[in-house]
Amino acid sequence: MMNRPMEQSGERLERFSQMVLADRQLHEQLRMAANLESFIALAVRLSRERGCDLTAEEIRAAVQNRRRAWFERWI
Amino acid sequence: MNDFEGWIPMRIYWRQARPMVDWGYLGGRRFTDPFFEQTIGGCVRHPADLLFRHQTPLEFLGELAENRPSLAPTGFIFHMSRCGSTLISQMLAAVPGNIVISEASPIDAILRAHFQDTNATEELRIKWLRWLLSALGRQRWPEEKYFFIKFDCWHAVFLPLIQRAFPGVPWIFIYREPVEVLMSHARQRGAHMIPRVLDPGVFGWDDQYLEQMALDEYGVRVLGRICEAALEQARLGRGKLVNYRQLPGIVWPDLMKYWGVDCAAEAVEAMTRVSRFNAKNPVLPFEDDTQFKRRVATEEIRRIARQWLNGTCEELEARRLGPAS
Repeated sequence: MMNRPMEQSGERLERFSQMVLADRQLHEQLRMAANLESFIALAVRLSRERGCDLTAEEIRAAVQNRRRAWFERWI
Repeated sequence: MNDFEGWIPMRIYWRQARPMVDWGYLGGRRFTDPFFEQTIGGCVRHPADLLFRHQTPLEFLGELAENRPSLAPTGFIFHMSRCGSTLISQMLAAVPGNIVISEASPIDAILRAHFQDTNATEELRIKWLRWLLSALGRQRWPEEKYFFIKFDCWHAVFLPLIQRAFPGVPWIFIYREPVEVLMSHARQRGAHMIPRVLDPGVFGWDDQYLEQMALDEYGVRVLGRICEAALEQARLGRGKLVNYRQLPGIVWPDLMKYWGVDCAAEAVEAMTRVSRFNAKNPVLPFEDDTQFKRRVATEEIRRIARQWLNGTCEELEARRLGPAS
């Protein structure tokens, strides 16, 4: 599978998220990662297998952004 | 239709003027922490849980409510804050047959939705609240039979709306000697005691009115409004009043009977065990600080309690003791 032309990181992450949320097994597989580094490695591989091609940096940044957004949700 | 089994509405927010639900994967967790926010904290701890979350329009809760069974609320807990309500919810949560949702922010978002969304009429909020409680009250374990909601303390002002949404659900209001409550807030002020954390309209005030109040006066008047809201209902013969001093003994059998809950011996034992610990920090044993709080209360605390709160609490107590309660 190939990336769609000019697809931005956010769009690829969104596409991969939709796949994860629609596939209980895939979701559970990602939840099994023992720590952040193994989660990133797994997410890179699984996203690549599904044509979303997320990089380790993109996933790390997304996790950090979501964490910050969660802690700042009341601000 | 995805039935969202194992997922929980963690947060309600508005995206481009549309109410949305942020879902968290609850999995096999039960709501046994003192507060809803602590339990859902576990739903965003793992990076996969943080990153992959459903975001749906609020209307999706309506579809779920129509298509998926859920427990009807068994009982509601209202309170003036710092008065033992968490002890009650923690005792209930110790029993595996009970789902106990304690001060859940999505409930607050719906009850106060009209402050940020002028389309959120009372009718709409009633509908949303029913949908939300249907999602929160889904049976996740076969033994779950009863469903309790402990509201935020300021939700007492929404009692008419909540009773319209759930007529006939037995509710209690718990209160405590005002000076003791105020001393607890003096040590660690609750968010609702800080001006403008909540829209002053919640208490029927406007910004201009707010400016006339000093910080401590604001806090005690917030507590006053909460207690008055419960008292207005009590005068109509609604709800059950509970004084902090009746804890923990009133929970079983009185409240269980009031809520229509069958309580096996193991359940009573589990509740009794929990009552020996500090409800908000269960690693610590419970210590009754009533005498200490009374002793160290300043004259100013006593004065504002007399001015704004004591009268309402005295009437609550009189109604609890009298034939009208």
